[in-house]
Amino acid sequence: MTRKNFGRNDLLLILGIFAAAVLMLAAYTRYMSRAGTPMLEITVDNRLYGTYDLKHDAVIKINGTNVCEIKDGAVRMISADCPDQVCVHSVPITANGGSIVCLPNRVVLKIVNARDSGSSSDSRNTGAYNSGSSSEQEPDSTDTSSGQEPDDTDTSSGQDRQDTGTSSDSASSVPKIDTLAE
Amino acid sequence: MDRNHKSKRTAYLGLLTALAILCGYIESLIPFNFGIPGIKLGLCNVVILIVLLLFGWREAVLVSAARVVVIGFLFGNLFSIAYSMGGAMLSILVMTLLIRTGKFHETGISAAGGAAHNIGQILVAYLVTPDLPLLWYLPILMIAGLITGILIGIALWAVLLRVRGLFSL
Repeated sequence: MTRKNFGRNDLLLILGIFAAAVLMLAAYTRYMSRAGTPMLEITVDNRLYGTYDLKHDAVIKINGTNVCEIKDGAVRMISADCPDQVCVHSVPITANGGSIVCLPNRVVLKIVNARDSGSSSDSRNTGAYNSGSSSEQEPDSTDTSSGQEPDDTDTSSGQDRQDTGTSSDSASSVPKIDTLAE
Repeated sequence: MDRNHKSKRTAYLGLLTALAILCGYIESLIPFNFGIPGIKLGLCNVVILIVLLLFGWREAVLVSAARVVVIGFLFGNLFSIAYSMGGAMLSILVMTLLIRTGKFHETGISAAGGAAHNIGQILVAYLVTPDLPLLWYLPILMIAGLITGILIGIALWAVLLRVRGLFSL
């Protein structure tokens, strides 16, 4: 072993790892800025069905039971095969938040990262990042109750209770990160 | 003669294991908190690298596993043992490969080892907690590992200058 401690190869190695880290950070911030925009999230039976951009007009068929439409940044249910048609008569939801629920088919249309709830979006973003694998539903009771028609309030609160159950599950896993401090 | 050699080797490894555990103890006394969990100086890596350079990777794995378990039981919990074990093993793997190439010096090897340690640690944590924002933690811990690894590499170089002659095998 020489008395030399540092060479050109070492510098390249360190710079290489540093560059990889910076690239990852850049990718992350880019992802976060995209995830920070309001999106329509459709869940069926508490499972994520799809996430859609509000900017692009679209007609989305949901499992053959419901059809919803994105038009001019507003989302509404066009048709449903259920008898009560509560969701079809719901007020359209926009980037400002809210949700439309079809209880008979367990279909939930919800705006994630809504503009007026920016402060609480942190934990939800991390959940959305992993939603592909864990298919976890992000609960937000305030959204559901605010954008709801009066007819639906008692049934939707039942939905909320289920959601809070899943939220405490995911919250309990957070303290484990602290044990990393070793 | 061969037997003498073997017992000498065992004694040195025991000594170095104790030293690594002691480093972990000293480290637990220093509050070294950047607000991000998982960042620490990694003094043990000086000892692990000495073992790696002067003995070999098998010995380094043994010493490292022993100190992770002991330090984990003394100052941490089962989770921290799992995290550290993942980090320690990945770190030894990377450092061994870098030493084999013969193209790198202590600082580079130690820096890459520090980054690898944090990568292994966060990967184990990710297996335990899939909700972890991996893309956020990973680069920060990698850069932190680089910085502490460079510091450790400099310390290692200073130690090796004085200590190398001691381990006459």
